[in-house]
Amino acid sequence: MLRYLVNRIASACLVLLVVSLFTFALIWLVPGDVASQLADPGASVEELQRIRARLNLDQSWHVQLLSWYGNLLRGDLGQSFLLNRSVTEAIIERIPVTLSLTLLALVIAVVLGVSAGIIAAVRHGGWADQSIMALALVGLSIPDFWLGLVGIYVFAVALGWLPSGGFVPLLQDPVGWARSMALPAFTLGITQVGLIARITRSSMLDVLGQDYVRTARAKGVPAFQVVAKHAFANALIPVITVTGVIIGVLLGGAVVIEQVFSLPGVGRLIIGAVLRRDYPVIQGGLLLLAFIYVFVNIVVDLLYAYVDPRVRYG
Amino acid sequence: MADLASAERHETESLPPERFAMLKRFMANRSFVIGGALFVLVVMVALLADVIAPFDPLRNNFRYRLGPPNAAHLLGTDSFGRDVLSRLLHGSRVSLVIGLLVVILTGLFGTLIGAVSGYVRRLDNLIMRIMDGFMAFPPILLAIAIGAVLGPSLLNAVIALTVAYTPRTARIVRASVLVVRESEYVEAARALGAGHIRILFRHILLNSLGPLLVQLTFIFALAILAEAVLSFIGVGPSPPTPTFGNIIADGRNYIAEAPWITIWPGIAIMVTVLGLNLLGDGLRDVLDPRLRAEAR
Repeated sequence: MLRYLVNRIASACLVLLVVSLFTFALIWLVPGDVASQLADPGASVEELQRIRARLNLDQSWHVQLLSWYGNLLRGDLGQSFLLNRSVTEAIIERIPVTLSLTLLALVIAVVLGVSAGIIAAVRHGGWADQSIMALALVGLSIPDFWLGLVGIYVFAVALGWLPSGGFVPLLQDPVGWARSMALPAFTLGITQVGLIARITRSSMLDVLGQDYVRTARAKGVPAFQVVAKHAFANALIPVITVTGVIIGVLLGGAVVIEQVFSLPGVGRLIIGAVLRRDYPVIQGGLLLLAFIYVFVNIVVDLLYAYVDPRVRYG
Repeated sequence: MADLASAERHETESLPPERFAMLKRFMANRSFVIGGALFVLVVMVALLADVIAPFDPLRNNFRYRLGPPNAAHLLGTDSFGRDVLSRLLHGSRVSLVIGLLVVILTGLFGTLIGAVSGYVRRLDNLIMRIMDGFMAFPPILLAIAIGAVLGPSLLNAVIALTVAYTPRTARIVRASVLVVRESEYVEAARALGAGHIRILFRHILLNSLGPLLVQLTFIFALAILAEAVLSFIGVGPSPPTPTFGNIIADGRNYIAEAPWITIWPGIAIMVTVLGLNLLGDGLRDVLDPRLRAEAR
């Protein structure tokens, strides 16, 4: 197990190196002169020079690279142009919103997806199976941000049950928090239900066809127990794997959903920065979400190795 | 009836039996047929947009702003009084072109990178770690960031989405190259003195086409969804050019008074993507029997 862990972390470090290098290089992809884009149209030469100095763009590339990594190791992601504060601060302030949205959506997606998948597998070929699978496919084809807007129209505008956006901190007003998070979390989660349902179903079908399940049935284990205990535990493995992928999709989706529901998270910060060309914030936000994703995938892999001994000895 | 039977028999004779069996398997696959039909429908609509669109998608009509659907404007009008249906028909073009370009470029780069990685053992580790690095970004976020620095345009959206989805394609190609590389007929070709390039293209890549095709169909679907997101947040092709995403972005501000502006483009995206997803499922069932067992 230890060797597996060390290997896994070593390869994650390599991935993080690529991630941070790319994020660093991002500003070089900006066509033309970065400084003159950021400055007011009639900016003086000194003004442009000041902006370059602030972005370190007046240095040679290896100095830029070294100071990028030096700052990174100290947790310094640079200064935002528009917010007039450090990117790290701005992100830390907003990360709880993004993480709680992603986590809630994940719970919704896994609970609904796994239950739907199990029902479909147990009722294999029946109408329940067919309608769940059809719905799953439709779900995979819906743009999440659009679903959010439709949700706002139905539940906020037409019915008036939920707020159309905005955020209430959990500690300030738990009910208000739940109301403000309900629509965004469901919107984000529901788009991934289909994928989880499909994986759970095919994995359950695989397991239900195995000899040991037949043996369990033959020796008189109740049907519910066969499904819940014998089959489900073993069918879980592919579901765990896909959960790692889904967290990435949810983190990306959260960026857009925050924008739709005006939630003050990292995603909204990034998109605000995109529209106003606040490059340090784009770089910082991108880097942070990628780091979280890599970290989550290490955890998923370890969980996977824990559930399936073949992985850690293989 | 008799005519049909004889026609069928005739067809059996004229087609080589293998190809006919393949065709029959495609036609017997419900996902493939429904998905294919949906997708062909969308493509036809996009191609014929000029002919079937009742209005100029860019023409303003300030006397009928945010107009609800009526006989003249079947899906209503937007905040500039432009016909939503016409904008949708023309928008489908832009979205499909972006999707198609992303598929072509992703296919090209993904194949190149995946083939080199799978065939040249010494480079494999390095290339795949770089690909892993790119896959550590949520794809939509990566596309947003690249789109943001390059600036909003159709071409830049294509570049951004290609970068976001190429690693996945490369991984699929590499996986099938690794399998095919060890097969006996490749060994036979090598024994007969075939060069690396010939082996790679003629023997290995040609036999890895199935999984690639399946993957590219799903990437087409993902690219259309992602393009909508990019346009929605303002890093896609800039207005007034209609795309599914920027029609929704425009409608968002009027969701209470004029929900039709927002709702219809979403349904159009859904139909297009559903068609592609079904098509991909069908292709996978037929081309990749290994996975078929899993997807029962």
